[in-house]
Amino acid sequence: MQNTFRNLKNSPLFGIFIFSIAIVLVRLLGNAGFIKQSTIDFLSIVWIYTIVGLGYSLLLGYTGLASLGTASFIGLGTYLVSFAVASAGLPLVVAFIIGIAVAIIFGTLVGFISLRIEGMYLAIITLGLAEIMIEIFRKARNITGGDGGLRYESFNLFGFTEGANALMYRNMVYFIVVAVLVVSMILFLNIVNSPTGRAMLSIKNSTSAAQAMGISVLKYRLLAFVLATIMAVIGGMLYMPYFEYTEPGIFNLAISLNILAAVIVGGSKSIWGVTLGTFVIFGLKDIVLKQIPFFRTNGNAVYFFTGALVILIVMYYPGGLVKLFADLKIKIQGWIKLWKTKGGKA
Amino acid sequence: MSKVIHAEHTLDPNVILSVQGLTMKFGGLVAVDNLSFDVKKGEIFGLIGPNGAGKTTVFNCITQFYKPTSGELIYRDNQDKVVKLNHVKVHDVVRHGIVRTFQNVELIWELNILENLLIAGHTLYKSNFFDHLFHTPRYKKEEKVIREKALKVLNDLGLTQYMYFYPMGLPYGVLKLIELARTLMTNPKLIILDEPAAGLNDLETEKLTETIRKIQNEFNCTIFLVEHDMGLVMKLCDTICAISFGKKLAIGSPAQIKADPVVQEAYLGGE
Repeated sequence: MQNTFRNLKNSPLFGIFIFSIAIVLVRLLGNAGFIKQSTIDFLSIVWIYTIVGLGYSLLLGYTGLASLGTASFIGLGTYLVSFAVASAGLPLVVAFIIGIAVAIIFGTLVGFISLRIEGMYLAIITLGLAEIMIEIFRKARNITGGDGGLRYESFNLFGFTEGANALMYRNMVYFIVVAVLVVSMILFLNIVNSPTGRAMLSIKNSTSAAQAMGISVLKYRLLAFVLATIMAVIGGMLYMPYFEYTEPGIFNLAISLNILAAVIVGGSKSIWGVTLGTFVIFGLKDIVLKQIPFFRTNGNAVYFFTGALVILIVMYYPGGLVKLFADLKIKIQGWIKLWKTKGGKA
Repeated sequence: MSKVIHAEHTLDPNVILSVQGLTMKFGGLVAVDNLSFDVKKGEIFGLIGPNGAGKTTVFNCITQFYKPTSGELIYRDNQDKVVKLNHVKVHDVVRHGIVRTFQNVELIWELNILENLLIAGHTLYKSNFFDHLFHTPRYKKEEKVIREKALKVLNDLGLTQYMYFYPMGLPYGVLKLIELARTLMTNPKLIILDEPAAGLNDLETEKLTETIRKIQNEFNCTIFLVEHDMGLVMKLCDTICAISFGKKLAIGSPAQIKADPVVQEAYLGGE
């Protein structure tokens, strides 16, 4: 009995299970009035960007490619879901399937153009493509609303709408985000612990070794890029029902850079690293630091704080925060052991 | 692909790889110049030459890392089919049973030794991306079989103790052995070793010699190697081809090569 529990505890799914209970609890505590709605909204942004970050982690952490087009794909997701639901009148589930299909096509297309190059050059090309996309969002006014933005508040989430029952709608959209996050985490773990994940990692480490072992570099780079695109589009498709508003200006280079920073700060090869990093980059300033009077009066000081954190981690802890915590844990366990043996002798 | 196979090339049944008139130019530099030789089935074939003679370039041409400027690479694959390698994609070469190692070890530093071997078994997996995404029973069964194969190879080469280690920090001799173990995961017919003894001490070199012999006998492979360590080459190889500045100097048994005046001149600078 105890053994079964220990096996369960050591399974990576256990952590995901506890985590999902915790974040569902946050929403329930919010309903009971213990947590402010604004805090929950900021947390939801963190969960949505964590989903995007998981895709980006496959691209950067496993395949070793840096793209700066992430935000424009999130933007694409927001417009896709609004268009499919508002203009074409499709149910949300169908909109999601269409969104994923478009992401696959789009990712493959962009990937084919850009994946023959790597490193800095890939970042620059994807940046250029992202700017083109944002420009299209700006100019295609009759679909996207242009710079004026696009508001749509009549999403129907399994029978719940904002107009009819706002509280249930708020709950539903949060739980959908949590569900997608949890499924993404599990599938992420499945991929990285399979030949596909190992093939990606071998491309990052040595393209020659990968090729000599029969791994097609282009195929796996393309796969990673398409997966990252799908996750970004899904992130956008969740963002829209949650915030019910999108505009070309939101998903700019800053968001792409922040997702890159989040994945690096947290630890680019771990689900907890990505979650932690996204929290630090996207959530820390609004959820934690704004509680401190100094940061409340000096609003922009938070950027110095997060900026300094990024520099410190990249310089001294390239493994990311998750590595820092793992090392701390080992150290503390060592201290406890030492203390116990000393106590035993005395 | 099928066109290539139908275009029958004649190959002596005892020969596994025939290099015919291989030339590789980088701009104005001729790295390999009209080089021809045959590697016989089951032998250990050594390619020697002074620094910069173009040995590694020959390897890179055979394994399609470079596309040769001209010349033909004819190979008898695991189904006894004759294949012209010039048309094979670099990542498909291993599927024909040709596997190589690298001069400076190219391991996957972020994976442990066991996983490094699983990477080498990549072409053995029949399961597709969706099997991997959902960890289907089909994939799990396959993973178990390939993992067992990896454990067996590790055991054969005496590497079991390093199974869960990461390559970083392991002795160079061990890393070289892991690369060798990796080649065995691919069910090879022809193993190409690029300076297997470089950077090893005498003891490690001796162990390596034994291991290569063991691989030749137990796994029924042909071995084609480039090496600077003359002692190793003379002891191990059945046939040796000496090249200099991309041109063939001589080919023959170790004794013949040792006695050849042209080879001596290239190595010792002549009288």
